[in-house]
Amino acid sequence: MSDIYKVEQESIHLRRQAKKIVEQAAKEGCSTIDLSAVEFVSRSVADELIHRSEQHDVDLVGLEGDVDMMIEAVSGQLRQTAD
Amino acid sequence: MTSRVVPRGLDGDDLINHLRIGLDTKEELRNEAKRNRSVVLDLSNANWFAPTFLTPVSVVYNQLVDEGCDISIDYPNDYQVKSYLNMIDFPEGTPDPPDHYKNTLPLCSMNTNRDADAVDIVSEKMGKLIKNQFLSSTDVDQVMWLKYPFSETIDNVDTHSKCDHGALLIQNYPSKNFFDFCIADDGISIPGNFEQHDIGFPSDDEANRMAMEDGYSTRQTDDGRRGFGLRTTVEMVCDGLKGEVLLSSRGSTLSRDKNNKIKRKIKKQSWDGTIFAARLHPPSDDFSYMEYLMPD
Repeated sequence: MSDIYKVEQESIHLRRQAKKIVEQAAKEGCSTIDLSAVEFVSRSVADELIHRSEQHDVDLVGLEGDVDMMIEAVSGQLRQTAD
Repeated sequence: MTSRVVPRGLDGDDLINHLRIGLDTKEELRNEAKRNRSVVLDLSNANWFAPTFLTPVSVVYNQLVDEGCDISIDYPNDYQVKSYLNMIDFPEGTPDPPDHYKNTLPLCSMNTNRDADAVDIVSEKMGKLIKNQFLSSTDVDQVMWLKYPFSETIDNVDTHSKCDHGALLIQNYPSKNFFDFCIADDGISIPGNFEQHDIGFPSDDEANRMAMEDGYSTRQTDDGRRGFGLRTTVEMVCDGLKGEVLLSSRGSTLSRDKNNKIKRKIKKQSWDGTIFAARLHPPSDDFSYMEYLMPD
């Protein structure tokens, strides 16, 4: 079994989809989610991916372009809020 | 026996006026459908349609069809207006937008009572269409200004509304330099959702204001985190894009524009669910979506 869960969707708009991705990855025993094929995630999806991946101890990799910026921005703001 | 519902005043591009007529039309269609199972929606004299009329009326149309009502449309006498309605698939809307669409985007239906994946399909297909049709720039700020409100509001429908029917329409007016966007559902509404989660509020106006301005969300009670989607969208549209938003949910319809004041705009009519509408102007060069990702 591959340790990497590859997401094939081009864009993710819904929290429910993000939750499903992380839960499916965890269910398949993957410790890494590869988002390199994804071109867009919404702010809500970024929030959900960060939260759920922490919950399930899964790493997000392959973050590029707009997806990387969104995940970085939301995780940075979440850290600020926590502080 | 067949009864007729004839909306009056469908002219001009005022979002609030079209929403008011849409809410009146909803009420009349429901009342007439109770009396006679056969109803004609007579749009023959209409000169203009804004999404704030078409989107909620599409939701009511699909509700009535599912309830077994025989409902038909008398299309506008004006050829161009009639062609537009045909082009966007009014009144049913399309549950599965094609990959390429000529000239304008379709009215999308999200009837989750017919297909549990309805919102997933529309969000994915419309996300691609928005990008291909309107957003050719590689500059992220020139893409996010439209994708952000779209993705946050469609996610709100999916996450919170528990609706059976929903509809979404985006219209581009290049000569007027704005986009109109409207998404409507027949779900539990913002005040109804707050009630289910024991979030107190004195009136529907105040519940909707709390969602728009304070970022109140039932996600706070679900898992201790706040939902900022609606609040950040309102701030981005009004402050960043110098536009306006309308939020109609249960007994309250509020608006906010670039002048930063939330006003109660429609007093008599109500909507059993939630309608969110926005008028967006393409951004100036110094617009940065990052400023609106999470409020202070």
